[in-house]
Amino acid sequence: MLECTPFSSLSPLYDLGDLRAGTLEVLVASRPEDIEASQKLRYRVFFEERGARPTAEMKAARRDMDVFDAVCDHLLVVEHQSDRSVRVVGTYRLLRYEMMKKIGHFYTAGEYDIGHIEQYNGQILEVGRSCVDPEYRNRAVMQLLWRGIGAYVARFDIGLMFGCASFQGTDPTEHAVALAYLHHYHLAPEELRLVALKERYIDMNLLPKDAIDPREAFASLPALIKGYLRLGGYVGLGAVIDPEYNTTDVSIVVKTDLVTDKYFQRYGKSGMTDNG
Amino acid sequence: MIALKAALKLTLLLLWIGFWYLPVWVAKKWGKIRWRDAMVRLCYIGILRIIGVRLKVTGQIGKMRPLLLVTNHLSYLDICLLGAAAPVKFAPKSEIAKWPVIGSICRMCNAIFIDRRPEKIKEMTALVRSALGRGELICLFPEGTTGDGLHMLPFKSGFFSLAEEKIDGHDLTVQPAAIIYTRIRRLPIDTTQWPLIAWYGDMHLFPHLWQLLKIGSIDAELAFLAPVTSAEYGDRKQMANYCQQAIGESGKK
Repeated sequence: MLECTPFSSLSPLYDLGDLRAGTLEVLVASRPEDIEASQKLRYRVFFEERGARPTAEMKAARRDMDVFDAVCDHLLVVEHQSDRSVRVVGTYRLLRYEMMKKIGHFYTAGEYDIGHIEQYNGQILEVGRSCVDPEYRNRAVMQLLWRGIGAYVARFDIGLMFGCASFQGTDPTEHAVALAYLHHYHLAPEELRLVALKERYIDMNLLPKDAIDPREAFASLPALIKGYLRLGGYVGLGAVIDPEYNTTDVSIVVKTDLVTDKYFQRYGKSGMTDNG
Repeated sequence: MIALKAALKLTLLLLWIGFWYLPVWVAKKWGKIRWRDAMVRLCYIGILRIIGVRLKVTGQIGKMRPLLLVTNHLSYLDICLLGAAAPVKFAPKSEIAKWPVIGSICRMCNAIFIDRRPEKIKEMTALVRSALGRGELICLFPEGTTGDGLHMLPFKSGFFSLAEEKIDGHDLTVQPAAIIYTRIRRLPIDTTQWPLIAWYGDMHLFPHLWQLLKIGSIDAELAFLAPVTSAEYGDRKQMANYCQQAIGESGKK
């Protein structure tokens, strides 16, 4: 049942430093069989667990796959087994601008207008297809995944990360509180704002701001979205329904050089400009 | 694995500080103050390297003397950042003199211990003024204590009364500087991670340091901002306000 590959030849594509916690390790996959194992994990999570509808091809292979897999970097959390094999327990798909050019567009461009951030002055990185094996949904794996992203961001000098994050199910009203909360409290400034494509645009402003308890709403969010927000991430304008994956998607932007303004903003409101 | 690395770093940290103890003491004894300052600074730079802090300095320290630096304050790590950037002296509360290790490090760097009892204010002010008069670069933390990383505390204008009178016939220049922690492990600092850096309330030093060593990678910025004199801001309240706002503005991007 488990996708196991021999340990000895596990050679990461880039050196991100030694990122381990116990028997877990995070790395960028270099071998086709590791990428295949991550596609199988994605299939188990997206299709078997969350009820997405696979294509016949995917169903036959029991792998979640698309054209982006060939050009993306696959960040994997693996567990080293006692028989020197490894098991892929978490995965994240990363697409840099240069790699994207081989295809011509980012994945997110199928759901959102990303014009604003393509103008961004600096390296941009699309992140997506994140999933963790249900048996491994714990702090250690999530932390390792974030550390891997941190190392990757540093390695390629990424200034901006963006992508889609999902709520399960295709009925946005089921997630009215969460969507409205994100819209009112975490909407990106205009220059960083992704806007849902016109024909797929679903309004996230489903409830007035004063009808939401922000603490409760934050607590109800999926773990991944919470993670982005804690890093100072923003959401774009409008949600998009993805019937194939049985999800309601929102867009996320995280500026990696974002200084936590909140600390400073309490005393810096008036127009002091002569501070050098 | 992480714990092992942290233990290694802790050992290295103690060895490194211990290594400088004697040369600094000798330099001080022989009156080679410049050597002493250079060695202390080197020691701070090494400490940052061991903890894994990458420091980016922007702006410059004013050339005029007497000069007083004021900054926001989050953690003991602030001391290392400032110490690595310039030969700065600090004025900790006198209780710290009695702390093991830290107390003797402070003495080694010629810290001016401040007795905060109200009846001692005049004496303490005179002590700081005379050090400023000698041209020493002194840094004060006008928040009076460390904050939690989520909010800067209001600056106490009392600290700025130093600038109300001339020192040896010269105006005291006050330069605000912002201490900004930007990243942990190369990612923006998650709001739940602040207590890893900020050291406040009744947190114990050792467990906090241990957590800090386990992080292994922190990015920090130190921004020296436009200096002002008491002539420009006669009132200490206005001066405190200016410094706090300048620091607040520079921390936002």
